[in-house]
Amino acid sequence: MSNKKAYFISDDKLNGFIESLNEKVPVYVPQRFDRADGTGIYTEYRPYGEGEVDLESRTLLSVKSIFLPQCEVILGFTTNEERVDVVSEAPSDERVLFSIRNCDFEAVRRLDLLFGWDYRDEFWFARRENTIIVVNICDSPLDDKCFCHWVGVDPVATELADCVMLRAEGGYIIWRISERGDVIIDVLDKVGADEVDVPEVEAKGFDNAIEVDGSHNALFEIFTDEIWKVLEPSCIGCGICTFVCPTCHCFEIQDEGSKRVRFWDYCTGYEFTRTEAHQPRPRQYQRYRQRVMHKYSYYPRRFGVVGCTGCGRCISACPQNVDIREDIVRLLKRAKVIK
Amino acid sequence: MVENIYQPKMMRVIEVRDETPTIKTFRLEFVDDEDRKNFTFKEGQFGEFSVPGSGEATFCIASPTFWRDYIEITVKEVRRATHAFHLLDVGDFVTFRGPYGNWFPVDDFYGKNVMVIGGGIGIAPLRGLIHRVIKERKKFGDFCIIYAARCVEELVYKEEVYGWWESDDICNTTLCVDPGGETPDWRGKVSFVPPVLEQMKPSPKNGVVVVCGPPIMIRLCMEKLVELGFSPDVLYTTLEAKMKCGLGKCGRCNIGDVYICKDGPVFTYAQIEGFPGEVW
Repeated sequence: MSNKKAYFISDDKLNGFIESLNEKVPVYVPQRFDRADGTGIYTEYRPYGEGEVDLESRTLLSVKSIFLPQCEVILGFTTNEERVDVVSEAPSDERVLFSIRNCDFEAVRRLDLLFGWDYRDEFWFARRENTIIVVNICDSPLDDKCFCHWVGVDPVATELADCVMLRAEGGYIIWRISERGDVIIDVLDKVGADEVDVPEVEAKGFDNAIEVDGSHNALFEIFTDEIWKVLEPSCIGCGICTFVCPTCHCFEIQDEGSKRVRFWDYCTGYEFTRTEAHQPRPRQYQRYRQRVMHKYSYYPRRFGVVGCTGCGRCISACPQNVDIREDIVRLLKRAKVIK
Repeated sequence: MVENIYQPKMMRVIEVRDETPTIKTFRLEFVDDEDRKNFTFKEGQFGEFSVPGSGEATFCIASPTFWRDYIEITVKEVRRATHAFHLLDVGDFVTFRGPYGNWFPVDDFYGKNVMVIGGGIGIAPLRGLIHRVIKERKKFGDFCIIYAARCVEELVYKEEVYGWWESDDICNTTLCVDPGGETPDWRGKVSFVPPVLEQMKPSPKNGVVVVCGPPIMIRLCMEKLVELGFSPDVLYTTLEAKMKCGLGKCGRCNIGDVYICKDGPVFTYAQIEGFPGEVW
């Protein structure tokens, strides 16, 4: 048993705790929303108070939008006769990102490599630096779609978070890791959470992993293989997998009136690479290949980490029931990495 | 915020020239003297240009590095952003981010026989290089230009090109248009480029070749040049890809583990052969 102190917050006090915390620092927390048309419910990270807090299901949308908003103004123009001025504003103040899973947290850290290499994207890093992260560690998979253990993510990692929380019977145990986590602990103190010991955590149920790490060069070699054409009929290029994905970062920049905005884009769509003169990926299998290869081959070749953190969202979102794990297994077999 | 990498500098249009019915060249100068003083680039680099409110587009800098006070870009009108460019008058503002990407290693070409092959608007990224070679003519061996377009009307920089054509002492220039694209008084060749290369049989000895044009033309020229004995690592091209950021972030120009905007746009044929595909 560790000497460090942790706090237990029961389910019935949870909302009150988040509310008190939200009074000090804005809290982004997974919430559940009823769709207006009654067709279902979806969950995503939003400022506290917009929906019903739900910490135990996989959010439909990842935390990506907290750092790379779906649509964001990167600058504006003010025009007069004499000149055009360009104005840009820094992203918002400090906030708490509460109850994020290690797959999402790892995805954000892997994207740091992209947004930081050579040119540093200050929109990304300003948000990274002003966000206090509370990781909700997974001692077991959320459901059968989780595969973080395939791609080198530790579901119970605690080191890089500011605070860590763990589901316990009737509530959550929360403890501090970094100084920035003090604000959480202060509020826990104030709302009268019980002091407990920091638990020893062991992840269970993450079995039958196919080790993807290290196969990027073998995958690169099967770029021209016929297998991609076999996979093609599954993907219709709708782009929902990129939309829900925590590591899909490709974006578009356009002008809307006097604002220049950037917004998410998707490589599985025809327009992604089309120019008037040339379309290097005219077929759907080429665009699906780009998405898969970018994650499992190009990204590790370039940045040394797999561009996927196994959150499983693309599997649940795909209208064609494409299970990326099945395709990975087929590809790795083709590349003779596994038998 | 420390620095917004998407923040452009303002430039002003100081000259507009019609090149073809759909292509114009714009001469631009920085609005702020400070920007003008600090600005340097190298032959083959590109930038992100925009008419504010109409979106950014990627154009190579089509003027040589030793023109100190202004740069030029050559723009073909296709969709929204380029359409806005074609409506510009002298005095209008545009934004510019750059210069981005790598460049032609011109210093490595010193003492070598240089061949430049352009197709259509693909001559634009080569123009700075051509001017540089002409200016420092004595530092290079033989200098040969092949410029091809679909038809006579589609030749860009006509005045300059005809000037090069007539200056046999500076460079050996061949102009060609595709079959059917000639006019009655056309004195150049009527042919695609690969047959011209076949006929000319340039010597691979001590030679470098720089090609830019439509993807299919680049590929066929490269194949022909390899057939003629050129080593793929002395064959240069500059690749066009859809780009949004120019900074290696947006993922558009990603081919294999290469970002065209960061690792290119200038590549040798040897490098391109190492790409998984999707170039042409």
